[in-house]
Amino acid sequence: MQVASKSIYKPDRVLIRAIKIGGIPENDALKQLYKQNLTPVTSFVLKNSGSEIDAKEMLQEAIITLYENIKSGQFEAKAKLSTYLFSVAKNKWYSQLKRKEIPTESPVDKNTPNNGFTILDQESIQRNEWVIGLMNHLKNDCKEILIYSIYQKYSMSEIAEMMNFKNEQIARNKKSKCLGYFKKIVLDYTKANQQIL
Amino acid sequence: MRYSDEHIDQFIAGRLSSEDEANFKRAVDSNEELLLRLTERTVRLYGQQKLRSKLRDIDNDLEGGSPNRD
Repeated sequence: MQVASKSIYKPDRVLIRAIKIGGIPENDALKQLYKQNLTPVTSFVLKNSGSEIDAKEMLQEAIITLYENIKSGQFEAKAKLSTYLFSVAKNKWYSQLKRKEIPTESPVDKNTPNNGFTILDQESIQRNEWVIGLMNHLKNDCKEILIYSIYQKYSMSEIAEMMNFKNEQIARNKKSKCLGYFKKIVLDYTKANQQIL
Repeated sequence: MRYSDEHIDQFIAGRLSSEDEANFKRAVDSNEELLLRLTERTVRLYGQQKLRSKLRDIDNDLEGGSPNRD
């Protein structure tokens, strides 16, 4: 027997706004986008030589692309979000299939799309090791301010409010200090690896 | 030499040849702008990882069948 309590999805403009705001509204928006788009993306990937796991990865990567475009102000709502996500997931899956045909011993593929880095195993592992190995040197407040500023593109006044700083200048100083420290870590890490070569 | 964003990604993913990688590392040591770009790219990748992890949690919740949470 069917239950009549089918959830009502929020409209696209509300989701976009929620992602811009961040916090709990953002989490709810991500949840809706995931639930709403999982079935069509899964159908497509299954019909095109993929698995359910592949489908989930493609949807996750598509949502990440959407998220970054919204955060950076580059997203233009020309189509429905579901259409956009399906299209990005589809292109990523085709790109994945294409890349899987390339022998691993081949030289650097100059034609790899800039946003094409998704799963491909060894590269993902290498990338994760790089990122985690470096970010682990930062205290949580530094991680937070760098992500807010560099990844989520919040303004310094927004960051000051989110992190309970007295004013924008304090946020600016904190970011500058954390970024300077992190640059030194990246440089040291790179140099250390250079000596090994 | 001006390194592209793609080149930075290839370095992080370990996709450069040994020679290119050594050159890139030397360049990072002497080029403040390249060091900044590599640093910022690392932060963005970390942000992506956190978001990916959040999406996997959402998937796990769905798989777990948390009833009618919406």
